[in-house]
Amino acid sequence: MNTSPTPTNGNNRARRWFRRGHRWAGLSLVVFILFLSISGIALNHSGGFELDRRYVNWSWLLDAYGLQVPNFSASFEDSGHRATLLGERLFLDGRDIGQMESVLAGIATVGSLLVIGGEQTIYLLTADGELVEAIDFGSELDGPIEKVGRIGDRAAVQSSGRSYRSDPGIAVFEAWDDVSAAYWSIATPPDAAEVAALETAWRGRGVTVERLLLDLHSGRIIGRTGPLLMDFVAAFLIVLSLSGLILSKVRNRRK
Amino acid sequence: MLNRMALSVLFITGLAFAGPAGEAGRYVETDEYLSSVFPAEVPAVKILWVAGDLREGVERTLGHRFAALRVRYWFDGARSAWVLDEIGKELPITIGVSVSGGAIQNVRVLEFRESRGWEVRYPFFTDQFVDARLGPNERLDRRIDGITGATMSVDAVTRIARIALLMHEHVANSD
Repeated sequence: MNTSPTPTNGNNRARRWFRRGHRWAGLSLVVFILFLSISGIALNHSGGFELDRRYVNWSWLLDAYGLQVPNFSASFEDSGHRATLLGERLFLDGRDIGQMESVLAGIATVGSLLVIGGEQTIYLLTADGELVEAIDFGSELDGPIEKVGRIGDRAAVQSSGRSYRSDPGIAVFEAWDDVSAAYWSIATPPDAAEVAALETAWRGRGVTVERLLLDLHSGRIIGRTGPLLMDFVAAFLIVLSLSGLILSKVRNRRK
Repeated sequence: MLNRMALSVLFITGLAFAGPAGEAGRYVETDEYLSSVFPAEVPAVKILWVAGDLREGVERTLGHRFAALRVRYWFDGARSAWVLDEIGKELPITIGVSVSGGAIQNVRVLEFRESRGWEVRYPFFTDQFVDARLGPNERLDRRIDGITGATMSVDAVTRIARIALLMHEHVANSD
């Protein structure tokens, strides 16, 4: 009796393994196939679903996008108005005023205007945060602005140990030695509610659903390995399609 | 032969480490620019409130909201100088424009903050604005040739040239 495996038995076993492998590969890719199909359909109709106008602002997601809120580097308060420098963005009363700065020297209320000092720029704003003018002091001062304040009804700045006082319209500044009556802005930390408002303002509306879906679809949401993972899934799908074709051909031949 | 190869390697290495001929930065201080426009004496600074029809014209020209409520300028009765900011791609470009008799006298890029597009600082580009006037629809009366790879900066400088002409016209008519 010949007990050695015949070529037919060997072929059957290989075919069985092939079929089993095909089935398991298919099952393991079900989640990816469903996800890629659904996200693909959603992206194809993102305009209709208004995905580019819907936002998500989950903090863990925004952290994953690198939108971690930096610690505030300076914060000043005067007459109920607070200026804060968060990263390089200037905030007034918890609202981003659209100005980039590396230093915040202080805030002073002068008449109906707010005077905020940056490194070499004075920002004049209305009480509701509208920019009146950004005055560049770069070519007039020897160093950065160190203090911002007021002398009577005029704005005042201090730089490199010298003091300057504005005209009534806060258009020009002149060197001014008599600072005995000057008020200089002093840094004070914002309270917990103000910090929370600043963090919300920093993150803005978050990311659009379209952006999130695109990054999920391409795998970029998990960084550099994400696209490689999706490439692997795609290659696996190609192999699965080919193995399915081979299996169906074998079955047809048997019939 | 070996010496020549060594020299070539040194030359190529030198080229690789040499900084670009022009790059982002502060090129001209405001007072330097003003002294070049008014060599005899820089006139006192004046303030122009950008409101009403002027604001409408400025915002139409810019194609977006004008961020400030007022701008400063220098005017000696005939010639005016403007130092204005406009965003090229993401960061503002600080541009000086002087206007005399309704025509641009010069345009200079005082500060460029972005990593691309700084070629707009060169005279081969800014000289195109000399003698340009406002034509119909607040457009310049001449074509300004662009620079490949600096389209947004070119557009920003062109917009500022147009609003400087618009503002000069406003202050010249009201003085």
